[in-house]
Amino acid sequence: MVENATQLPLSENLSLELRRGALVLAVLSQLHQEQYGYSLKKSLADKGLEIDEGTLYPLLRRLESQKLLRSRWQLEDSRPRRYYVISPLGEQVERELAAQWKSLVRVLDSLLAPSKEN
Amino acid sequence: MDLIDRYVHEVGEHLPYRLRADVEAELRSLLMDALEERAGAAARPPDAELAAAVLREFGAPREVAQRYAPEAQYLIGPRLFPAYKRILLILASIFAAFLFASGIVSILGTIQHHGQGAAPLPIFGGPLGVLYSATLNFALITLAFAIAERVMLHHEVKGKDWEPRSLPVLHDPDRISPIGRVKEVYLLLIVAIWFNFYPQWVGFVVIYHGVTFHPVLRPEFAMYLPWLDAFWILDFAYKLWVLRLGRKTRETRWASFGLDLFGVIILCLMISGPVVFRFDAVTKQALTLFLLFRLFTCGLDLYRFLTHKPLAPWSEPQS
Repeated sequence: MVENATQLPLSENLSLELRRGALVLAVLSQLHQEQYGYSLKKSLADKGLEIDEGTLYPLLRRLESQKLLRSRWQLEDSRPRRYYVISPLGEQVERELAAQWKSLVRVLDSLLAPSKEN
Repeated sequence: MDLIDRYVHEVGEHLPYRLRADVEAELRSLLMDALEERAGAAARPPDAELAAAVLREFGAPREVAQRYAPEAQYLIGPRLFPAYKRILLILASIFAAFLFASGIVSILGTIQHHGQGAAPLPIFGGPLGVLYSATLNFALITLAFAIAERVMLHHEVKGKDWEPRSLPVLHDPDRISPIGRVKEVYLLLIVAIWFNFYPQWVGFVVIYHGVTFHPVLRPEFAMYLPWLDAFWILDFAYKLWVLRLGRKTRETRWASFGLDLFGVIILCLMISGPVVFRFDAVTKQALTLFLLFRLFTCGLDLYRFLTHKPLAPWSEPQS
């Protein structure tokens, strides 16, 4: 029991770490069309990727400050919303990250596959 | 919604000022979206209970603010913290020793005066004086390190920009020690505060038939303070400049030489002007000796600077 209790947070932390890098690619991939924070969260969730608000919204701002996204405020139903869209630099970075992701998945698949010798 | 406004305000309180308004506006908009969605799912108008559920999902205001802050906000970062801790420990040991000595003197004095109380050590003002002095010094050291942290914050060479050939050579005359520079900034602050706010404490202690403190400065000394303050401010700026550059350059050497000359001029004025010191003859002799020493080192610096070899082995020789 004790072992499980101590291993669970560790496993959660490692899982979060594993996801963190992938989130950037996921977000960039979904912003070829303008979206505001909440609509992006829903769109990612609909496709099976749940991201909590506390992670997604600061990430959008960080990517904008890194010039990978652009944003603008728009008034909708008397409510201001901030819309984000990928920038040309973001598109270039997305292509590079996607290539690295695919290569990483291939390598990891081969590493995780049961050895033929066994 | 009152709860959402309070939440947004609380997050803003933990954010740097320049980000606050923008993050608050965006956060409010996102929270309202989430609340609307939740109210739609519950088929009832938004209320405090739904708002509280949305806010709980977003997380504690401090945590949310931390995620929005672009960079870690600390007074003294990991680069300087080990040195800061080491210096504080050394200083704490010194003050602990003073505190112990001061306490012993107080106890002995009490015994000698048959319970009538001992005269505290004049320069430290007894144990309370030592504690006050220690607190002031800790604060000044923290201030000096915090300034160094801000100066060095955006001046870090890392990753691919790092060039092995830029490693300082052994005995490189242009190399500076950041920790040494921070210590200099700290000493400069101490001296400036001492002369500006506690001129009556500038003096020396005589231990003969008891401990007595003799102040050195006369009130007339105040006429030179603006000059000295100007010198200290320039010196402070110079030290921060060198700290930021990370090494001495031709420009910093000229600036240092100019600063030395300015100091020499102030010294000349003090020696030749009206009497500003008690024990006039002794202090003037001491100042004259110091002046001669400074003139000698200035001359030597100038000679070295004009005729010297390159500033660093790979640099072009100076013309």
